[in-house]
Amino acid sequence: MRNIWRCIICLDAVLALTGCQAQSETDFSGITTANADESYEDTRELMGTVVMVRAYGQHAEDGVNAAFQRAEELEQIFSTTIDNTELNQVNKAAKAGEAVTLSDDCFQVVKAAMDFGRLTNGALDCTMGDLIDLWGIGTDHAAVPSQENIDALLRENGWQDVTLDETTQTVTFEDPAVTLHLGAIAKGYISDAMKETLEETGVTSAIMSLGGNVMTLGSKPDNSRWTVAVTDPFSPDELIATLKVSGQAVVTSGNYERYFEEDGVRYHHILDPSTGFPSDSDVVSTTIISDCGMNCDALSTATIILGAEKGMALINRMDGTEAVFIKTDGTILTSDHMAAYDLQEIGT
Amino acid sequence: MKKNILLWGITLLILLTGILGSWYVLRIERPRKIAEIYQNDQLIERIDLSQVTESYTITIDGDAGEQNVIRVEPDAIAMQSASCPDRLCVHQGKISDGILPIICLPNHIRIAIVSEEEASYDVQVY
Repeated sequence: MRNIWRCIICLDAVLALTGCQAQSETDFSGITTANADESYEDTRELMGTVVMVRAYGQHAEDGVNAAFQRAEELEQIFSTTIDNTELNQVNKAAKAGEAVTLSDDCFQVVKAAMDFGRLTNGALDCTMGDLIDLWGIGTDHAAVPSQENIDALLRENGWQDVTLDETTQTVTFEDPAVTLHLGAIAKGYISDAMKETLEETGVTSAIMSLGGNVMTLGSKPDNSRWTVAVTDPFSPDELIATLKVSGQAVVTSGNYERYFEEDGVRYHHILDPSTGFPSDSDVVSTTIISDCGMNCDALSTATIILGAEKGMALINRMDGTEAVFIKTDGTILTSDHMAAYDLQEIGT
Repeated sequence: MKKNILLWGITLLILLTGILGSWYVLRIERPRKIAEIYQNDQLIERIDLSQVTESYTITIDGDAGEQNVIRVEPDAIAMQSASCPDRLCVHQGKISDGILPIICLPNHIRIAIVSEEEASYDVQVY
């Protein structure tokens, strides 16, 4: 009798294992074509990152294509890695002492960069392109520079070394050490411009991700809000929370995004303008929510540098802007009206 | 006698449960996961990860000598090695859902998963 029991247990185990390894033979072709007449999605490389746009409704395909066309136009203005973009030409001429006339798009973004420099008391400084190049984070020559080389490029309140003339729409550099680098703000502006283009083509429901910067247009086709998952900065292949938005942008900055390691130390890409080194504040990740992608982009970087106390105080002074900070000790901080976005911590 | 009948009854019941349970599991369709590998925005490979039973690697060479080695596993995919400067794509580890793709920007390689499984969120911010 005991042997029968053993056989039964073994048989059950074998059957269960066989069942677990079963292979389905159904046709998979339906997955990618489902609802193809109601939605359209495209993914392309732009601005040194991967951009995904998914739109719904009868104008979806036209809208997505128009949005990418607009983004490609803007890439030719703001990229620092493509030769002869407007920004590269402006840097070259203004460093030589010329007053340079800017396009409407470039003027708006440079003006916003200066405004954020003032608002954040210099935590966001878009004039330190030379320092970014010196570190080379994300390139094949990333290395810790000498203190001497860093000191040579540090300028107190560097953002004040740029003068904008609104009547002539020109920019002048007051110090030849200025190199405009709009990486902390341009992607947000591009997301706003792409959203506007989608709206102009008649799209009312869309979601975009510009290298992890999220922009939403309207709500989902079923009228529910978009659910945005926030990356766990301590384990970037995991999620730490979700939140719900409808028409807002959501942007996260974290010290886990781009980095290199030297002598066992990790150096991330968010440079503190006051030290010239990667930010060493008590915040490892900030997520900003607002209607404006450019504001989210700029504030996500600035608040990492400002740290929890100053950063959250800044967010709470701004109408229509909310934030989630994750501190180095794992504590999650939220702004005063974050409840409107139904933040749910994962695992709680 | 009664004890033997009871034992045989329990034995048959367990056997029947096992057979029915296995038959049910065999009939259930596992959610499909298709990994799509892009080079320079062009789709170069589609792999049904739910059909993969043993791990293997795929090597992708670029025009300028760059190289990426992709590791394909049952229900998951990862960048095993890359000639890019920062190797963030390698550090990302393996992915098994469609929300966060693996991207090697310097070498213009992207791996995305298209899954039948319904995610509990629409997009990931990072």
